[in-house]
Amino acid sequence: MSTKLTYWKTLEQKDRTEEAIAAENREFFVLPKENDEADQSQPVERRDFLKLLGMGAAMTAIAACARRPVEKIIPYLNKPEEITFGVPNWYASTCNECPAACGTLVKTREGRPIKMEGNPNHPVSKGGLCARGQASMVNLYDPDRLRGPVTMKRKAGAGESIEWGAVDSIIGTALDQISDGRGNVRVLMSTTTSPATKAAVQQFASAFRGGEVVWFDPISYENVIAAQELSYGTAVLPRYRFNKADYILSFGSDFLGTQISPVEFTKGFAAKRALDGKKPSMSRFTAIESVPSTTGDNADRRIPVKPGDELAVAAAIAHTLIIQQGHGAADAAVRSFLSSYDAKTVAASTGVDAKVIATVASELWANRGRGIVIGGQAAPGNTQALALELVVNLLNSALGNDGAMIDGTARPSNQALGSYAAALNLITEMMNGSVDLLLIRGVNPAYVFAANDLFAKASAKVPLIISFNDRLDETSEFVDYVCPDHHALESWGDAEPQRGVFSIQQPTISPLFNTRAFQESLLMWAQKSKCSAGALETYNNWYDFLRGYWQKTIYPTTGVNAPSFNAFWDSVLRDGVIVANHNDNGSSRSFRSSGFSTLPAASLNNSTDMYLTLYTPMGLYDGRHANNAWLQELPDPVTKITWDNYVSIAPATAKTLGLNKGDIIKVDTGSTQLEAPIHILPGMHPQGLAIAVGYGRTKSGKVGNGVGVNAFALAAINAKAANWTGIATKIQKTGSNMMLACTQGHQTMEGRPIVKEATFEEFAKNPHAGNEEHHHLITMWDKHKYPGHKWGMAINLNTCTGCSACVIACQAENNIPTVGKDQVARDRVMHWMRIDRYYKGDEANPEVVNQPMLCQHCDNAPCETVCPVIATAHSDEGLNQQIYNRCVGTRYCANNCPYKARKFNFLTYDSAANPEAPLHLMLNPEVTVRTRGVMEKCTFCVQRIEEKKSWAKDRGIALPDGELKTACQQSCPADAIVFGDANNPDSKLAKLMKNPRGYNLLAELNTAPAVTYLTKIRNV
Amino acid sequence: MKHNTNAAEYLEPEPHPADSLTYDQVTRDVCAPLERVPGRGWWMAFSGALGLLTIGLISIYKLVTTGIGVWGLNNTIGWAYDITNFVFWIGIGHAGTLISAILFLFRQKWRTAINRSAEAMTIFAVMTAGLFPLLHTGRPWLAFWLFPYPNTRGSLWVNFRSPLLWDVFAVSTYFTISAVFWYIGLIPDIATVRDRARNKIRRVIYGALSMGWTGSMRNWMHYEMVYLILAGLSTPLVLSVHSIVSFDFAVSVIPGWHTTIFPPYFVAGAIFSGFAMVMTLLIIVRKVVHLEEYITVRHLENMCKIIMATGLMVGYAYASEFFIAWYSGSPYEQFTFVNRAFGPYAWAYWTMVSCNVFIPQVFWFKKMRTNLTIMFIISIFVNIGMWFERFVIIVTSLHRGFLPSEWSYFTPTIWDIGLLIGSFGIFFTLFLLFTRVLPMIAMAEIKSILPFKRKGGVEYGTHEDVV
Repeated sequence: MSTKLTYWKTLEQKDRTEEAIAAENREFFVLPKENDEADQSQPVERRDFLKLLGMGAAMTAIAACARRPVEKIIPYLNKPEEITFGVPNWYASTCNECPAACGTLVKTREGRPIKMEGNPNHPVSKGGLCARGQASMVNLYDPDRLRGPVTMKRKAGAGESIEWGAVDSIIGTALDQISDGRGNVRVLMSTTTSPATKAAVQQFASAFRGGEVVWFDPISYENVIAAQELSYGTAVLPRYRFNKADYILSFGSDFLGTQISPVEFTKGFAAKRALDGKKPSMSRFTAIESVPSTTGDNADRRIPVKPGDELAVAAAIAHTLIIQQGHGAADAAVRSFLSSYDAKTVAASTGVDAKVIATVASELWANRGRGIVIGGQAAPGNTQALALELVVNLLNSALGNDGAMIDGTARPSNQALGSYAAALNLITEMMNGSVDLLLIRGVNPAYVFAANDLFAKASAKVPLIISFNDRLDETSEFVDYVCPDHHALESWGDAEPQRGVFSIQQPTISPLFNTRAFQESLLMWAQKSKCSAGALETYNNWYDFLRGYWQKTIYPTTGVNAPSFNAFWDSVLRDGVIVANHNDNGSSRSFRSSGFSTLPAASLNNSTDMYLTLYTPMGLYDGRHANNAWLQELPDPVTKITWDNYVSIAPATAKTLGLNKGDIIKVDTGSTQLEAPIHILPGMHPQGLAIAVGYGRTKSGKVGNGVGVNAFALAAINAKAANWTGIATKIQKTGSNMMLACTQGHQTMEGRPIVKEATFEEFAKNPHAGNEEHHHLITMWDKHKYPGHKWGMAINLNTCTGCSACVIACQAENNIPTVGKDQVARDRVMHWMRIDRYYKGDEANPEVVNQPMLCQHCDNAPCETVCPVIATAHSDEGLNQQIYNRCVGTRYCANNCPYKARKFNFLTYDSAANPEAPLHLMLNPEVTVRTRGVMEKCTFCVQRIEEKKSWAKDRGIALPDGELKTACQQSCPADAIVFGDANNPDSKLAKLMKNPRGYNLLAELNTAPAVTYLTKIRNV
Repeated sequence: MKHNTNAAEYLEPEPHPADSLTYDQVTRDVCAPLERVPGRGWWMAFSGALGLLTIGLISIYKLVTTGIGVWGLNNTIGWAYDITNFVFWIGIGHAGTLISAILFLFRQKWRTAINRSAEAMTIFAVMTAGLFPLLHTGRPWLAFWLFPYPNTRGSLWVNFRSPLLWDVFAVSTYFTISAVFWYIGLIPDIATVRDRARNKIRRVIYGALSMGWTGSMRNWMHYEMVYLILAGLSTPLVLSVHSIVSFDFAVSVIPGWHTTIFPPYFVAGAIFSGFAMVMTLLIIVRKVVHLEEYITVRHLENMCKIIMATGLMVGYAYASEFFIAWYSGSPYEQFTFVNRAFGPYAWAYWTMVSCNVFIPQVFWFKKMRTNLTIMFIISIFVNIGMWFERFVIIVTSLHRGFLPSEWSYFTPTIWDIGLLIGSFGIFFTLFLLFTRVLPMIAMAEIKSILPFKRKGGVEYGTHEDVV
């Protein structure tokens, strides 16, 4: 520009002044003004105007496209001190979903409980929690719960809402009339381990001259207690110490699934089978059962028998041991009872090999003092079953197991109080018209005693019946008032599952509905009426009563030297549990044989009829969880069927009768007929039939109504007992068929090395047994680099019992939807964690293996390479991450996953994406809910990982091994799952990865999974 | 035909339009369907196609508003009818380019009678096929994320390692080239239609489409050059597109998919199915639109030979898969193939083998190769067989994978079937519209191979020989 211009417009240009050069370099003579120097007369410049116009048009268009639901955010006006947004509060409490009363820690977020976990400090459950406990949240937020008290018109089955005040005054008046007169008040309750509740109820009942509390559990272990009384003189439910037992012999017991205290039992059982010690040792477990159960599936030796034949086999073992081999003392009563059960006769009658009987007897003797013989079928109300329990006691005493392994003296259990005998006695009383007032809590007699309308008829004779149940159930049709109780997570309470082990139950949310604690109702009524209910009348409310009870009754027994009761109370609330009774070593008791003389003459059953057994399902228990979609959709650990009950039948029998899966048969016990579909179940005895109770609810709510059939109706009920086992039954084809929604497509491994196993003998010689094959894979690529953490998991297939607690824990943690029967049948179940169950060998008595299956977080993940939009990616901590927002749903990743761990949202599953209020409060705010069209899968609980990483960072420490637990691991009662950092050589995980039993599934594909399975070892 | 009676049969093996044709007649015959009110036959066919299309649209509406759950898919079987239909239609689309480009490069003059409709078929088949990758996604409104376009989502980009992305490129490239190739070929003929137009609207539309074609030497020179270049560009695509489609399977780890033979096997299968579909269409069209003189039995016979040849290739691939499964020593691989032939989907497998391998063997006989009815029936069988081939590959491999616990079975719902039917509706609707608005036979090209006439009627050669 320094050259002189030939042509110029102005003199400045000609002279090349600075302004002129600057002006030439400008595109425009007049620059658009910046906003801040905009002229007041021209508030919007032309360019700004165009910008705004364009943007306005675009924004309007966008705004018109987007759906903007109205959402109101209401912040705390005064924030409660203990709540920090985004930070969970944990409360120690007690699970109330079955009478086992496991200790829990309840996670709450912004004032609402979202997850329940086992309390590691609880001496009974030791941190485990079963599937039913994990599903507790669904029961709390169940939309079908009653909103408040209801006055019912009997028979009509419908009612009108009523105020608490009105109910109280009506009932107060009614109580006055009763207490003036005869005063036959009955409280019908299911087992509660709560000492304060027991006290409150007893005080209430004793305010009336004829008042009584009737304990009744539909899943009852009364025969165990009765046999203990006959054998040892005290009616007690013993505590079984599986954690010490080297040998276990069970007769129809489901101690790993549903019986008495399954979490505690599983902990103990698994501890003896973890094979984590230096010296290989492992318990041996023989199961003799008529219905394949979760427990029997884990036996080293399982012997299927005809329902009702358990006694004969037990007696034959006792005969071999005591009469033949002369071990243990035997008096005349024992001898005469056992005389007809010599092994050969029993073998001929039951089909159980005489050699097996002899082997079991010698193994029992070899492990004397270190073994457990356990019976404990639920509700076996016939003399055969009582005899079985007596033989069990006889064996335990003869072997010296009583005391050391079976504790009936130091810390026995309180976890089952109820009996059919008491309930049936109550019904007789009601029939006689001698009951003036019946209060019902936690049981559903109209459903349990549905056969012949037993309860319905009896209820007609009772002038006033009040139910405390949380919904309008089958029973509420026959009552006058329903005064809904709180859910356990809303109310105060306590528990004493075993003598001297006290735990507290804290409310974790203010009541969702206008409900009232059952104990508080009793307290109010006692105070409203003229009757005198002792201490109950001196407290203002249930909380005061509870606290008072602890102060006066429990605190002094604990021996805790606290500065004050307040300090003690606070520490109990913090810890959730206090052990007052530190003596947990039972002493052996002297065995009384007199029980045998009360039994009728022994007879072996040689008939070829079919025999039916009822059993307790893992999910629904006694039917109380029927409206719980998580538990309805939980695949049965044995059959993998969801959303139905069915009659299980042996494959051979099905073939003979020409029955196919799902064929509906008519089951005829003589007194009751019922139609149900069949399921062909390997391991059933050819003469056996089995059906789960708890289904067939008609008034449980939207989820549970009409699912399955009510098998309680098939129980053989007489005036004193209900019998569940060995019911002679005829079956008949109906010609129709129905679909059963099974989550597992194929039941055998087809010879593939999926679950690797070995016998204990082989393992003791070579720890690599069953796992000899290792693949040496070559690759041309560099491995991923994991500079910080490298997350991984180890799953011990030897301790996993298949109980499925992890499945529900995962569902609760990760907002996994339930999809319903139809979608399950279409193989669209959404569980991120599933338990694969495979059969091996003879279908008449197969071996069973369980394998928890989840995303393997492969280092070379086949899913990651095929996603066209990188919606699934590898993290530098070894996680295989699914990015929901980015997923367009090609499903290519799921196709390419060898483990089929990926789950696709085929539809909008409202159960998670848009649940009915108040179920939405249950969602974990740390985990995104997924919409339709999106793939999802196990994340290794990435939200927990991040939380704990922050926790460690806050403290400036390295994350300690074991601090971080995934939801499945936390819940596992068997401690089969270990999660950790493979980069930390001291971590438990890193050691397990080097364990000779460790293997990666389908390692030959070079997917390099982060999950290590440890071989299954059978002690046969 | 006269020359069939003498040695000319061997000297001039190519099929050929009827000798009696003149330039004028060619123009009149080919333009006739464009210039008259459609007859009853066309209307019936068109309303039928619209009916199918309606079923398809309803199925799409249901799918998009409700979700993939309306189909019979599950967590084990993530693809079934959707990708089967996709590969099926892409395969159909192959014959067009093969006929246009490869046969052009090999100077197979007989192609001129059929190349236009074959190309049209290609375009419509690829359009139909393209619907399925879009619709099979769980969230089709986000399917545009499969394109690598500059975006505001940070570094989010597509995954170049995913065969599904390669598909996007392969199919869109293939569609673009095919469409351009087809359109360039159409220009001289569109100009002819323009010149014959009797009203202004036709003149304007065809005028615009003909891009100022004057028929000058210069025009022709450029045209021939462009056409040759495009033919050269398309040729590798014939091989690449289906090779890449086969990578969707071959690159995975699933037994039954993870197979190196897939690319050639898929290409052969695509040509096989493409020719069968061309044959089905031409047998109908030449009858309905009276083009028997242009698309002669000799043309069809040649196609029969190709069908038989590719059918044998496909058959070889089937056999070789079994051999390799056995030879590999992988129990999973072996199981998959035994399961394919004897498992729950054996019916589908044997339908496939019968239709694709056994039935086309009748073409060994000239009598069968020249019998229109037999040809038509067999072409339908091949279409069915090739649809089943894709179904068998996709579903039987997925339904019984590594872990038996997740084995499953696919049963289609009415919405699966509705969309399959609908895809035929889309295809036929487009094809029938094409027969009304664009010349179905390449007039300019066919004129170039019409024989010279002498008075005695003995031919000397074609125009091209002189040119």
